[in-house]
Amino acid sequence: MHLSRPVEAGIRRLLSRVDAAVNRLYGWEGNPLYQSGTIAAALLLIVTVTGIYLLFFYRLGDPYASIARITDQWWGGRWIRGLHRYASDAAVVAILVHAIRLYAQGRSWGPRALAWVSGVSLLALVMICGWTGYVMIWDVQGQLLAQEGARLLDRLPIFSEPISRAFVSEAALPSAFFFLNLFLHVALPIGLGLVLWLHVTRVARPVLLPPKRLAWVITGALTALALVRPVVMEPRADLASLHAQATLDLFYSFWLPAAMSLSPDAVWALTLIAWVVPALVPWWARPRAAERPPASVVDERHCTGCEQCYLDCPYEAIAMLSLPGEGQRMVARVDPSLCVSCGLCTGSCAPMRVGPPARTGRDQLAQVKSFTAGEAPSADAIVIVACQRGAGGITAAAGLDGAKVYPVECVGNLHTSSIEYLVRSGVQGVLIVSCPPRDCWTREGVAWMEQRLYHEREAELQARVDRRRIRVVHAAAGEHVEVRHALAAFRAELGAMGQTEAEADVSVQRACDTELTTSGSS
Amino acid sequence: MTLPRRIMGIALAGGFTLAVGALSNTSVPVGAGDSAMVRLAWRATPARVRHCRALTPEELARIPAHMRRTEECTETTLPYRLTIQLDSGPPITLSVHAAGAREDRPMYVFQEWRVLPGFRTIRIRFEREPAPAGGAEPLSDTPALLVLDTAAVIAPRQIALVGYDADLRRLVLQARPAP
Repeated sequence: MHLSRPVEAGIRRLLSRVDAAVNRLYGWEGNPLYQSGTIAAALLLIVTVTGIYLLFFYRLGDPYASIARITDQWWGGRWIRGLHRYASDAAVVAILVHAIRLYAQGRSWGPRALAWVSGVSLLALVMICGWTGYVMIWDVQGQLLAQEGARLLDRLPIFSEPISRAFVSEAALPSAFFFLNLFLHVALPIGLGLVLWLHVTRVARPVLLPPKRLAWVITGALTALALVRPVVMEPRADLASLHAQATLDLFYSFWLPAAMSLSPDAVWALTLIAWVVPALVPWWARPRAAERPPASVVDERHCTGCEQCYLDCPYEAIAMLSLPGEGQRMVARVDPSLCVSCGLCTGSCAPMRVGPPARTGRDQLAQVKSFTAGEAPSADAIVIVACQRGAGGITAAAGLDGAKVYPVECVGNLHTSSIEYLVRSGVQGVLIVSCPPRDCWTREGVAWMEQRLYHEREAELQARVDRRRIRVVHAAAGEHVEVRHALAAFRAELGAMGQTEAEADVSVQRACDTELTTSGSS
Repeated sequence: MTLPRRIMGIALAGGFTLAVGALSNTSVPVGAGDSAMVRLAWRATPARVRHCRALTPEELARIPAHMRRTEECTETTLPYRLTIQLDSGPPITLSVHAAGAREDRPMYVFQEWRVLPGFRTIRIRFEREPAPAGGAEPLSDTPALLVLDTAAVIAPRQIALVGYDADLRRLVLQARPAP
C-alpha cells in the first residue's frame, strides 16, 4: 500500500469530525474550514489594503519612531496596524488548513500539481513577506530576524562581504538597508499576486473570495481583536546588547529561537526539507500508475457539439474542436494532461457518451438497473444516493433506517437518467446526499447536479419525473445523524403524498441514442 | 440554530480569535540568558604584493604589436593571522584572507564569543603573514601588526565590540573600561 494513504485517511477521519462539529455550529455555508483557500485570499487582501495605508506613515529615516507614531494614533493607526498583523497571522492558518485539506483529499497530484507547488511557494512568499514586515518595525524581534537572516545569507557563497557586519552597531547599519527591506516588503506581494494567478490558472471559474457574510465576520473578529488586544511597541532594537527574552509573532517567527541555537548549515538543511517535502507532495503522494483513474474520453461519433461538457469542466480540460473534413461540425475533446478524472462531464452529456472509461452515463444506467434488479422496490422504499466522500459516511452500509443506499463517487457526475430510472421504477423517493457544496472534491459537482435537477442545465432531469420525490441534502462525512434526520423528514413528506406507481416499462431516452430503451425491473 | 449552539459558535470564534492574538504576541526566551559577548568586527585593506617578470622575446613575438609590454605582473594579497585570547583561556588562531573568489577584496573580520559577564581581559593580535621570498615589498594601508591588550567590565547581555579605527590605525574596544 502507498505510504501516504494511511496518513491521508487519518487526516480525513479527523477532519470529518471537526467539519461535522463546525457545521453544527455555523452550518455548512458558514463553515470556515470549507472556505480556507478563499479566506486566505481575503486575508491577504486585507493585509494589502491596510499595508498601503500604513505605508503613508512609515519613515525610512527612523522606522521605529514612525511606527511608534502610528501605534499612538488610536483612531486610525493602532487598530489598522493590529488588523494588518492579525490578518497576516490568520492567513498563515488559513493557508495551512487549505493545504492539509487538499492533501488529505488527494487533490494534490497530476494536473493539480501546478496548483499545489504554487500554493507551497505562496506560503513561502507569505513567510518571507512577514519576515521583512517585522524587520521594518526595527524592534527586538525585527533585529533578531535581521541578524538571523544575515547569518544565514552569509553561509551562501554569493556575498563578498559578510552581511552580518551591517548589524554590529547602529553606526554600521547602511542607510540603504531599510529601503531595501521596504522594497522587498512591497515587491514580494506583487510576486505573490503572480503566484496566486498561477495557483488558480488551471481551474475554471476560480473562486477567490469567501461568501460576503463570512468575509465580514472574519474582518470584524480581527478588527475587534485589534481593538481588544492592540499591538504594542516592543523595545527598540539594540545592536549593542544581547536579548534574553523577546516578544515574537509565532506564526512568522516560530523557528527563530531554535534556529538561533543551530548552525547555519543545519538551519538551511531544515529549511530545504521544510520546503521540498511539501512541494514534492504531487510526486510522492500520487497513486501508483496502475491505480490512477483514467482521464475522460469523448465518443466523437456521437458528440452533438452542444459544448455542455466543455462549459461544465471545472479544470478546463475539455476543448471544442472542429473535425477535419466535416465542415462546421464541432466535437469535444479531453486533454488527458489536464483531466483529473472527476467525471463531471459524465453528468453533462445528454447522449451519455463522455466520461472516464466504465464511468459514463451508460455505465451508470447499467449499474442502476442492476441495483434495482436485485429486489423489487417496495412502494414505501426510499433510495439514498450518497456521495462516497461525504454523506455522513453512510455508504459503508447497504442501508440506513430501512432505506437502500446507492453509493456514488460524486453526485455531480451522476447522470440524471439514473435518477429518473430510480423514480420511475417505483421507489417512493430518492434522497440525494451530497458533500457540502464548498467541500465538493470535484469543485462544482453539487452545483451542477442541483442545476440539472431544478434549473434545466444540460443534461437536465426530464420534466416527466416528479421532483417532489427527489430531495437533495448536504452532509459532511461526519454528519451521520443529520442524514438520519433528513431521511426521516423526507419519509414523512413522502408518506403524506401517497403511493407511487411503478412503470412497467421504463424508457429512458437520450438524444442520439435509442439503445438505452429498457424494461423496468418491477 | 438553537441558542446554545449560537453561543457555542460565538465562543469558538472568539476563542480562536483570541488564540491568534496570543500566539502573535508571545514572549519567549531567545537564548542569551545573562551571558555577554565579545564581538570582533572590522574591515581592513589587505597588503598587496606585485610579482613581475620580463617577457621573453618568443612570448613578445606571440603578442600583437600594439599589446606588447615588457613585463607581466600579477598581484596577490597577504593573509593575516588573527589570535584571540580571552582571560586565561587558550589562544585561538584564525587565518583571515581577503574576500572574493580572487581574494582581491578587503578583509572582513566577524567573530563572536559568548562570555560570562564581569571583568574580562582581551588580547588580540592581528598580524600579517610574511611575504614570500623574492616578492616586492607589500603595499598596504593596514599596519603589519595590530595588537589589543586590554581589560573591561562587560555587563550581562552587553556586547563588547572590538573594531579597527582606520584613522588611528589601531584596534579599539567599545565597552566600559575596567575600574
